[in-house]
Amino acid sequence: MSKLFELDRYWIRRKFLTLFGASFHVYAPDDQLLAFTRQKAFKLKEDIRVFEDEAKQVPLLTVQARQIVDFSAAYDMVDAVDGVKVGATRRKGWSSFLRDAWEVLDADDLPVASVVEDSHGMALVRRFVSNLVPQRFEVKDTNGRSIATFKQRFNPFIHKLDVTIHDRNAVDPRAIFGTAVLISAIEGRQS
Amino acid sequence: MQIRARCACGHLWYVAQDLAGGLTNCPRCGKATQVDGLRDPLWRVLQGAAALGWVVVVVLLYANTGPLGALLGGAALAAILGLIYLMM
Ligand SMILES: [Zn+2]
Repeated sequence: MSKLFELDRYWIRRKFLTLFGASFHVYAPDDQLLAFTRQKAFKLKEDIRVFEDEAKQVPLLTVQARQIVDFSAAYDMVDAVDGVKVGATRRKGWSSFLRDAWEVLDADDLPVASVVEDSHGMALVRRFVSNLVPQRFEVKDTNGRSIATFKQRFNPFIHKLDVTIHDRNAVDPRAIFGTAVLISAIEGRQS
Repeated sequence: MQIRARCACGHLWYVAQDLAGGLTNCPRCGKATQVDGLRDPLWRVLQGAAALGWVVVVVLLYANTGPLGALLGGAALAAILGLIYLMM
């Protein structure tokens, strides 16, 4: 398994390329490049392929939307090495309207964790006052125990998301990573 | 309602409709398999609109430029639609 999925901390940088979509670099805390992905600009159905480096030689993970338009959008995550689905992430429709909320599902589509924006107050400030306020997401298991945190760094130009995993055994780290990349892709596009 | 999934290993089975258009692991070989995605409403509308648009354009070309224009125009439009399809 890639080193990326064995680390408790890494960060994702989303870089905008206005014509050709966006690219993501994933770094270890010591800034070593762990993974690279480029989001296609003209794809109607979200399809994110993560590789070990920019040469795209070693595929790591695929994140693929189920539908083109789906209010509760669901994305399946497949380990590109063995071709096995490791889980999915689903955006919680109406409850995401004022405060972003996602659900992490296991390979059998059963919920294993929730990913929720830190507070209603901050979420409202981001939506109606300034989206420069960095986002923070708490990942909790079905018992409400915190298992990871996604924290956006303040940067008006480049979306940077710090991922910290507190409990690696609670949810497949590949599913946590896929969810973090998706949030970077989707939330980053909104800001 | 259940929706069909067919794996490259030949196994055919049915999964919950929530998985339509998505991926699920094959119960026989364990590999991720594409589930039929015909439920997607926008996809259906786009397919219908593309087919209808193609027919209208070909008919108009035939009426205005004759069979050769209809053939060339129809082929060109089909190629453009094919390109758009590939982008999805
Ligand atoms: Zn199979």
